[in-house]
Amino acid sequence: MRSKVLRAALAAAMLIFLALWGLGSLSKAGTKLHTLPGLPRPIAKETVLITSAGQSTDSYIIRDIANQLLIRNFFMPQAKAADLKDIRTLVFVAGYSPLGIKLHGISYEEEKGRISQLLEKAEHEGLTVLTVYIGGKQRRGNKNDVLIEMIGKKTDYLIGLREADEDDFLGELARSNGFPLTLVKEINDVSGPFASAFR
Amino acid sequence: MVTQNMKRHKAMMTGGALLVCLGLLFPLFTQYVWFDIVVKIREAINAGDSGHLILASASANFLYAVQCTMLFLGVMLVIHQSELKQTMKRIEVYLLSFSVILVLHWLNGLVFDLPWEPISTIMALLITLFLFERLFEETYNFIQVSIVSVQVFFAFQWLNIMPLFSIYRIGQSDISYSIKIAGVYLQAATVLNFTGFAFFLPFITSAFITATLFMSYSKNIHMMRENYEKESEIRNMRAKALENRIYQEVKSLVHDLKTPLVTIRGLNSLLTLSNNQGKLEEYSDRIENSVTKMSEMISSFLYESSRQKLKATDLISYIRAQLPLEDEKIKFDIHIEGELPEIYVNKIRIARAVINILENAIIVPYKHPYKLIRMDVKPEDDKLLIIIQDNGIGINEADLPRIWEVGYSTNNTSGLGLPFAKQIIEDNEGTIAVSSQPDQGTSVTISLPLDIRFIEDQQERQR
Repeated sequence: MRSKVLRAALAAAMLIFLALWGLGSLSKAGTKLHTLPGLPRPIAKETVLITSAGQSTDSYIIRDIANQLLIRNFFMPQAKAADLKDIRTLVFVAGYSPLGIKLHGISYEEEKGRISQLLEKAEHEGLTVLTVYIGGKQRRGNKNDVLIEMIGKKTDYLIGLREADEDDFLGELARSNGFPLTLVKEINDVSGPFASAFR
Repeated sequence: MVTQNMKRHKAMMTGGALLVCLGLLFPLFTQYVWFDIVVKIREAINAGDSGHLILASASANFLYAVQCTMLFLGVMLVIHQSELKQTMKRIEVYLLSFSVILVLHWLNGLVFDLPWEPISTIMALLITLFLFERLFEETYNFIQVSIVSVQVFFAFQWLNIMPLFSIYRIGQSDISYSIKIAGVYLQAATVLNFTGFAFFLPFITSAFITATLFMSYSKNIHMMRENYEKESEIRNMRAKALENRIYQEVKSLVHDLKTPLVTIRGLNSLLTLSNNQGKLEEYSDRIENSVTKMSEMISSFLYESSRQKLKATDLISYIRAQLPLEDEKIKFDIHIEGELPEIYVNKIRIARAVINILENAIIVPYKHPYKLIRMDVKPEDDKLLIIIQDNGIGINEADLPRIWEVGYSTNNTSGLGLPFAKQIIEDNEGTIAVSSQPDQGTSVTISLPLDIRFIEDQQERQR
């Protein structure tokens, strides 16, 4: 009986230790990279179309941020090329979600095709393309990275989380495609650089 | 028995395989619930309400836990019912089970393109295997194991939605991570951390408590079964001992049958010598009486429930004639009070019962210069009382309640005499009671039912 209590106490102690270590590591995570606070001058104009690249729920967060910043926007997670009429800025919220893709009854390849068509149309129409990636390193993966690379080739500005760029994936993408990159510590810090693109 | 066991094994293995299939196809069946969870996360962001996130977490964790439990139980059923268990060491069986379950989870994620939670699943699996090893070996009950398993898996799934554990790669799957991102955006990371702990700790504690309760319950049942089996064995032994006693009584009856036989033989030899018609008739009558006695004796023993109306004096005379009294130090007095009525009993068996009591009185040690056994016979109301008293060492008060138990004896005897006598007396609607005082002696009171006609006559006379 005593040994059982000791074992339970040991397990609880380990759990608390891990939790405290986690807290410590979280506070250190933000100190690694220097980030740009935002763009020196606005590059995008309203009206904005916010769409998803990968159908994760992250796009709903960016829609919410845009609404809070009073940026006139249309939110269409599955926007098609035809929806770009009267739109001056296209915002992609990157984040691959297998469930989100299934929920909309499409495949990954179809999603890629949709994004490709949107990018082509945006280029043809001369629209500004912004990309936001708030998925962090845990959302990263082959399928997700392919989507970001696709958009990265045509994007004008990318805002991402610092923790997502530990392998310099976003930095390298920005350098090779020549677009400005802002890395923020937390999701709520996206508002500042996002607003700087418009005002 | 072997065929039944094989059938049971096959049924369990089939059940296990079905559970594995159900577990693998579970995401397909529950697709719309998963979609609903995604919708709940969206609602949480739209409404700025972290409550929706907790609801979404609960639904997702429950689905994960059910799927994990199905896969776990399915694999354990298949492996534990297969021949692998006999050929492999216990640790190898558990390692194999562990690996198979992990591979199934990985395959499931691959086939349905659903990311899974390797770390929390492995932790939960280790705990579940630990509990399974103890619980299943004790109870051999898969329902109890499933109740404990589902609690463990459910508890560990709550770690997935805690932003605190993100750096340990816990909660990497689509849903868990979406919940955490939304939680951080809604500034509800602390709420999610607290909720995670608030569910994890009670459920994991409950799983351990439930497993302990099941194990102790099973141990108790096991002990009760063992006790019952022991009691049954003791009962059987006692029944056999009583049967042996009856066999001894039959032997004594056979011995008693010799008396009338000797009479018949003697009278028969006289028949050949006598020419006197009067004597011949007398001998013939006496032979007839002896044959009737033998017939009565045999009937009494053959048919336990048979009872006859007989004079109490005949019973007393019969008992007296059967009693072996050769020790000069034993003084045996019979006191008959008044006119004895007719009784309605099985004469031979009741006689054997009374003789057993008298034999006990004869063999009991005594401290007086001589052994005095007194037998009082008297009618009382609608009964005949036979009271046998001795001046032996008596029985301790503490031992008195046990004297009717088969095998119990204070005199190093078989301990069968009193239970045998009690059974016969009660079969004849009589009663027997014993009172005793140490160093003073013992008194046994037997009451036997009177013949009903005698009772009616008595009532008539009173009127």
